[in-house]
Amino acid sequence: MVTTEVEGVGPAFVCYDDELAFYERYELCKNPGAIMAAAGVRKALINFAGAGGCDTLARNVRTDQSVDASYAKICSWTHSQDDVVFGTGGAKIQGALEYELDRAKPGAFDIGFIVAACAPSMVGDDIEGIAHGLQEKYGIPMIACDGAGFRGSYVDGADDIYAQLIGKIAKEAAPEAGRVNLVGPHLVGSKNWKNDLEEIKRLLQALGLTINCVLTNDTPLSDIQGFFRAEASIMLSFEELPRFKKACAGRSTRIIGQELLPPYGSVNTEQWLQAIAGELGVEKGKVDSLLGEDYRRVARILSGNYNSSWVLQGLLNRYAAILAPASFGAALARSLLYDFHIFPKVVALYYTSPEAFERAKKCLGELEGDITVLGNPNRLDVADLAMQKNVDFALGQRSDRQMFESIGITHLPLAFPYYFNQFCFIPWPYAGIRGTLNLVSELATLFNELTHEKGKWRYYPYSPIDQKYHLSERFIAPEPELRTLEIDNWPRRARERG
Amino acid sequence: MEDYEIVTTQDVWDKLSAQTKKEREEWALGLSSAIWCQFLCTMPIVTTFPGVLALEHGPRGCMSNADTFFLPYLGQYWGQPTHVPKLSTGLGEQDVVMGGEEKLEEAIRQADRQYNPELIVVTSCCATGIMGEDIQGLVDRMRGEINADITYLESPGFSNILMGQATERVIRGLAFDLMEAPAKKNKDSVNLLGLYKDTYAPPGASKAPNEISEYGRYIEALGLKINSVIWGSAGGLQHIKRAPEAEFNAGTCVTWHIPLAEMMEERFGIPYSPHGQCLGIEINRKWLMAVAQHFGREDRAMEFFNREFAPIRDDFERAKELCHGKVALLDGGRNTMSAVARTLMHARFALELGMEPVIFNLHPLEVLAKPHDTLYFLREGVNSKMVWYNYPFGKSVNPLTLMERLGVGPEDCMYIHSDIFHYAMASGESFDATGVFDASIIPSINASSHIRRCRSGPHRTYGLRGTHRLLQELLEGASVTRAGAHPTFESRLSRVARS
Repeated sequence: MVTTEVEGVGPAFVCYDDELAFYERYELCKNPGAIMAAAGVRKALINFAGAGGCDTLARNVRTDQSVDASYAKICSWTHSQDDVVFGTGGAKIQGALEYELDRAKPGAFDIGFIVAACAPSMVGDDIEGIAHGLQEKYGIPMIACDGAGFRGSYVDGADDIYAQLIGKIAKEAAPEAGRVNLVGPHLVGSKNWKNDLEEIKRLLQALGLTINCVLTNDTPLSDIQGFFRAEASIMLSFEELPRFKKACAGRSTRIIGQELLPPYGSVNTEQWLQAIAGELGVEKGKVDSLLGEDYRRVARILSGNYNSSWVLQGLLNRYAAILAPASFGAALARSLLYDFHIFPKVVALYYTSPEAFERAKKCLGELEGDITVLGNPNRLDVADLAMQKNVDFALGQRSDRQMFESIGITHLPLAFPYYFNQFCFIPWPYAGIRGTLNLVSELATLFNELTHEKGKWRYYPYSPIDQKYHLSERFIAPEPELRTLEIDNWPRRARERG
Repeated sequence: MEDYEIVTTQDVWDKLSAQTKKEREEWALGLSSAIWCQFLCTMPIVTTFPGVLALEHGPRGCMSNADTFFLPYLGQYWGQPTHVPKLSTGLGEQDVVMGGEEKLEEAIRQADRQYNPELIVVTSCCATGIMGEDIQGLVDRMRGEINADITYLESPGFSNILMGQATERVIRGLAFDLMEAPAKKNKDSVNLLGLYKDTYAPPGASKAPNEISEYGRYIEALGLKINSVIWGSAGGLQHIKRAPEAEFNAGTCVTWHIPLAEMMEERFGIPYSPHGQCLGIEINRKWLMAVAQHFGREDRAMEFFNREFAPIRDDFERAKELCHGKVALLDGGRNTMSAVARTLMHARFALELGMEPVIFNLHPLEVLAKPHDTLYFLREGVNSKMVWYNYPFGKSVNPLTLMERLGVGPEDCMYIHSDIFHYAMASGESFDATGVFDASIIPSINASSHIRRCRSGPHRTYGLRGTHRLLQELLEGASVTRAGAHPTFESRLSRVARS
């Protein structure tokens, strides 16, 4: 059922192929991916067409794009059963967009998107026709995307929007040396992707490069129009993005960077920056100088810092599990091992294109030690393997936090995409050498969670009533104990594990 | 300026009841959260039970949608065991065209073997709803072939049903239909129904009390026992199966308890208390007495009530004095989880304190969507003023314009809101640059349940402890405004954003 490859002394790679008839993993579908990509275009108006639950997701997931950037308006008119049966959904799509466009101030919107979910897709609501008609009526480009969940994943949604933006908006241009595009910042998988993107931009600009266009984050339409002015498009994630690549085919703008681990941690940052600089003909000395400057800055803070030494020594030789989108997960794995001497025993990578896993395998193939890299595994299997491998902590995603913590494995969610997920408001990256400050801070939080014995504190509570310190054999609840409520049928796994 | 009327809750009910479905859809531009998603209504309940496996038949995105925010939210803030196996058949384009029943059958067999659950709950979604897959037939055929018990809840997101109907569908499928005829009756026992979005866990496991802690004290004070807690108990399925053994049903939340209590009365003859959302003094007395009367323990109930009320009497009287004649601006919230029951609960409490409640930013469809809630509160005499507005495409009512229309100023009002986006929307249309509508000027309370988790009382402010906590917040909020404290950070940001 599961294919296993063991290559030499490197990690064991285990790919969960499709022989399982079910999936038990976190993977958003096409329409939120399309929404995220569309919401990264400045002054976009987005119509979400579908049921209310998907509308909620669309509205909330795109809020990540609005931090420190433009706020893409979403208009939607919830599709109902009558729309599915009688085909009246199209009128709703048109009505919602016209309502906003008729009331908008001139110049409020530069582009419109229609993203359809499963119901309108299956009943054949003519989103292309509606988009075309509205484009003619209002004079702004309108892009229609069939984002039905069964048509693909979050990555496919972004791919579709990127391809359409390139196909319909980008103009012919002669590439100019030193101009680069950045593609797929929110496909990498870091929950801090916005600040990571800013750091990547800063690094490239410090090397004398010009950021031509970002697909997409607060990207003005003019940048997309000039997409092919770039000498190269740097793919930030391992994902293949075939539609986007097809839209770029035959143009002089090269596609680079896709085989590289993204720049998380010092060892990965050096490698990434040097490789990108090499591709673009930037003098090595400039890279060394930039890296040196960033290292000095970080060293001023961390060198001789007893607190960071406390944390990093405390995490030395620990066993970790990682669950994350492939690019971010693989980068974390390598950084944990080489930067912090933490052994990534279980590395669960999630991806859409098989090429993404192949790229991850290639990057991680050099790692030594008892490491198992899983491709698109079921989460409960990851938890089981983590238990077997005596993992100390997991760096994962929000949806697996409870699972790990429930079996006593400390968990820190660093991955994306979610909403109400990123609660650090200090604009500092995880990426780059400077980003190691943030990564170390996260590891410090993790270290405290890992080592502080909160359960024992409650076992020996302070009793303020008579000002004496009581040692107690039982937990003391904040509320009176309900004696008559029998807690039976404890979760079976917990019982089995005692 | 928004074009709306100020009517009463009864008016809203009457107006909407008189409309056809088509008229409602045309009037409610963009619709509202009253018509949301059956799948997302179902999943929070399915993942309440340890030992249950959820299997969504459809594309992967639906289960992952639930897992993006809602289920982790329930797990993190309330400890629901949302990490139970949550599977999807992950239908692709090919399956949508050719059919996915074979895949579902194989998924059920594999899931049964791999995870060995007690119960498999199969759900559908938009895609499989349109495909017309015979999921019920398949589930019926497989029952008995696999080790686990298995059930099916039809859950396409577009099901054109009002939120109250969506919850009833879940209640029937995941509680009532799983109950068994009682082999015995547990004397002096009471079920607590309606615990939604929370769990009861053993002492020491929880950081904050919930309504079960509170109502549980009441029941035990009467010398009675709790038989089952539905939902939200670590007992999970066992609590549902043995619920018919209880003598009486009492509830926490009208939305979730009344429909189930009605079903259980019809099938098992178990009487029930109609009361819920016990914020306030009189309603807590009524709740206690409704249970006590069934068991003939009225004296005991009054003794307990008087004892519990004594320490909070002073705060209650002070709050009444402070609030008398004021307007309670009850902001229903604009997000998908807005709750008519909670807003009407606050309206009842406002009336008890001598205030005039005015409800706004609660879509009128919510009133129609939850008939058990609305009719309960109307029977309780809570016929609050309410804004009649269609909130086109989510547009909200500005509380400042509402105050103008009512002819009141900040010194005349209290503000209770359920939304959580105030900071994000501080520079938006709902707040003004003068900073009038600020907690330093108008006493404000946020009623969102997860935000209110605290040590001193249930987060939904149920029970006398919950009531006391809210009274204290009103009093303290008012003292801050009287002192002319500095504008809040939110207000300062709002001014900067608008300048």
